[in-house]
Amino acid sequence: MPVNTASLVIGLSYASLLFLVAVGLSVVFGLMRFINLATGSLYLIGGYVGWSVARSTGNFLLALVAGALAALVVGIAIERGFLQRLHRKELLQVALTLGVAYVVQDVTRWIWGGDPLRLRPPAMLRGSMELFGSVVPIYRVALIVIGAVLAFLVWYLLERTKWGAYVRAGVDDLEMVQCLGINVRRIFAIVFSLGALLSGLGGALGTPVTGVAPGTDIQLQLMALIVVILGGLGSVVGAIAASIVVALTDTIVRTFWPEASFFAAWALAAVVLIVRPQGLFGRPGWA
Amino acid sequence: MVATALLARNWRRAISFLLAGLLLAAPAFLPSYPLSVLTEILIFSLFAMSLNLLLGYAGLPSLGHSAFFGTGGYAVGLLAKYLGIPAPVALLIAVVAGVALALVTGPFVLRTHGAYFLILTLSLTQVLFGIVWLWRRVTGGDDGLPGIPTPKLPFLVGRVSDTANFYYLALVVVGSALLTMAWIIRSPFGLSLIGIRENERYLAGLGYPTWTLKYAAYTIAGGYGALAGGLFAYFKGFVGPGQISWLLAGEGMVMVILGGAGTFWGPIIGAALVLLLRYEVSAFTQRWVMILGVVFILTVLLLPQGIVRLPDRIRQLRAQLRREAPLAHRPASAVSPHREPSVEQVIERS
Amino acid sequence: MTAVPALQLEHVSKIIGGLTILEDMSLTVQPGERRAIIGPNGAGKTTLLNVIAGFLPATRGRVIVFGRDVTRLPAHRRVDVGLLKTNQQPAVFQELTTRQNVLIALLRGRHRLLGLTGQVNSDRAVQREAERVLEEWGLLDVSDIEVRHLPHGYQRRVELAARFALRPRLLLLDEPAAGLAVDEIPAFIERLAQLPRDMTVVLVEHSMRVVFSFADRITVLHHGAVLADGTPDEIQRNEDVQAAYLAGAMRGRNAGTA
Repeated sequence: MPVNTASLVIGLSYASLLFLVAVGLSVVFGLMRFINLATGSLYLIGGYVGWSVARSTGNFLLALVAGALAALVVGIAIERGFLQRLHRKELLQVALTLGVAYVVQDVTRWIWGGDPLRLRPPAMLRGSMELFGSVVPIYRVALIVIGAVLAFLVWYLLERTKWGAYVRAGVDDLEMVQCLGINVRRIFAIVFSLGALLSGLGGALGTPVTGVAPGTDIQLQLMALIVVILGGLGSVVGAIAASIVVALTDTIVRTFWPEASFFAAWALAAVVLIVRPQGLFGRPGWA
Repeated sequence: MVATALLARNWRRAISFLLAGLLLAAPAFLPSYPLSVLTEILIFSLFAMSLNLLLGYAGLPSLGHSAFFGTGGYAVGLLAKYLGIPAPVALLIAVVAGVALALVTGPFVLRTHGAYFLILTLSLTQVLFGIVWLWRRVTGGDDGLPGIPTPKLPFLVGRVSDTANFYYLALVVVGSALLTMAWIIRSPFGLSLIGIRENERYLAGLGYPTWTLKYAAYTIAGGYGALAGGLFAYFKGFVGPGQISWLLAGEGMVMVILGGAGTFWGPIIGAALVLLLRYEVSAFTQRWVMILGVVFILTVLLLPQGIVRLPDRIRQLRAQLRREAPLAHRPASAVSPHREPSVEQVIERS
Repeated sequence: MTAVPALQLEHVSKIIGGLTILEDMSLTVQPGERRAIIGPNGAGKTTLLNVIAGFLPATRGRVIVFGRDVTRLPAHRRVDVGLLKTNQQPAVFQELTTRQNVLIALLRGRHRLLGLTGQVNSDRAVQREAERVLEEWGLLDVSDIEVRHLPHGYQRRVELAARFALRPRLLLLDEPAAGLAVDEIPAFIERLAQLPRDMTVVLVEHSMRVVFSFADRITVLHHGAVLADGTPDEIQRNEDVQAAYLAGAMRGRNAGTA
């Protein structure tokens, strides 16, 4: 089995992107109990805006910031404008994000057209390097590093800060957190926006590897869903672990049987859900 | 009072008859293209209604309902194309296939609730999609199964165009299906589904076997969904993986919620609206998806009970604007008293 | 010759996540008896009712209703032996009208094939029965209003009307006086007193006025076990009960859970 360094690097870099999209989806679900079907759309926005800014300014860092901010703005708009009005009406919230996904899909196609867009990595991250005897793209390695750093930051935020403790408590027992007098709506807003920011950042970071095109949102959305299913909705550690598992599975299956990579991922998700409806790291009783 | 009530009921009967008449006469005044759009609306009305049974009445949010649609389609495709089986039998077998799929997946899917139910149904549909995609020999994979012969109503051949012929076939099938669905909804079973949606525990406390009820609803919805899928395969003359895609399931959800989940006419209105947007609006602008998205968002925010409740909502808003005493909500039965007392007034009296 | 007890609990325990909520509980309620179950917050009263009703499976022990061992039966099957339970929040369907709430109770098991063979509106017998129930409970005026618009007292009435329509032989009431204003309590006690004597009632309540005027016997729970069991007089004089209630009440206030 050709599990060589090259495919590992490709897999892990993809895992970074998946993690950025999935962690927002996961925590939003754990806390607010609805599935944000616009997560992929936020990735798309991050990608497109990032691409435009990179093209016009030539500054990759600026593009990252712009992409993340654009997604953040849209995320805040969604949360403020729509979700707050549907507080605790989960099915309608899911429906709403579906509507947003439709709108974003069409608007981005309007502005950027239907062709896939790609970006070259910034100058200092271009080219290849040697790693454990294989030649791998530098950018992909950078992605792994960035992903790891961000994963650690998110983990730290949620596991080691007081604010994170509130979020985790909310995931466990929302009623109790409300009783403690904590402003639940504010926490919702911050969590959702943070998730949007990360998705957008993922989109901008991902343009040099996945490119961005109509349909990228759907692709990432589905993959993120698989990740959170496996990782357990609401669990950061689960999101990290599952991102790696899903990304590596996807990469490995792709080398043998390209068409089946899609099927393999979903079959894995379905099996897990059938056996453990709450996901691998979720709590029983949530399902 | 009684006269008003009778008038209200007659109003509805009158509109229903008018609608039926229009539908029957449609081929006479509609050219071929709009007629085929109308046919598609009929088929998706059935699909949306089948999802409504699950989503709107029983409160089970399924994002995988296209699995049944596709199963029905492929059943028809395989039977009609390879075995030359006539339409009525093929459609029947399609329904059986849908029911079988529901019977098999039900016990797994019904272990979950809410969002977990959503993603589990989605996952299973994706797996089915994958199987269909990969099993080229039988399903044709990405290419699907083209060349499905269109069934024709024998006594109409030669008298009406082919489009009209299939239109009538669809009208008969969908019409009968919807009539049976109306029966189901008005039965004690239908009422108990609403009980499940509202609070499954309370219903169990009243002695209802809720798991069995959900299983039955899931199976019935699957059968109707497959019927719609089978019809669609005949309509397009083609069946492909797109008919099992989650995009279709999502669109179904949009149709149901847009029109009005948990109502009889809602999904039909929703289906009509979505399809009309796609076909008519796309003639003017390519941005029909965006418009659909915006309309959907507005509906979810302002009219969460769906477009079918628009008259009620308008009435509510006008009452609020005029700052009248809060009106009691329109009674659920067909009887509408001349002036509805406010809840406060009623309680004061008793 | 003693009649079959309405309810028997034999060494019932309930353990959730390592926490023992009910510990080796045994009690017997005779037919027609009015039993009140009291105890400080956290004593396990609601859990006990849920175990009796079948919403929670007992970890150990047996639940026997009118001589039938229902321990393994799910909640909806226990209705068959005449067991019905109310909720702290009235167990009514908010989006349905009062009439529909009553109908749903009456229609239970009436039509074959899970109810697919009938039609709600054309079942004259059921509609007439519903009308009768609505009249009996003074709900005719609000019969076609969605229950969510009704004030709490009315919702409680609807809940009881629906359950009575099913002719319960053993009725479990979970804090039925909760949410009532102080001046509504006497009327409520009046209504409780009017319950038919052939119906066995087990009541969990915090309001001592209700408990002491209604109950034939009182069972006191403490930390999931039976602390005392006797007539209202006996319980009032019981020192253990006084100590536990006072101490438990303090602890309950700090913990803040029921």
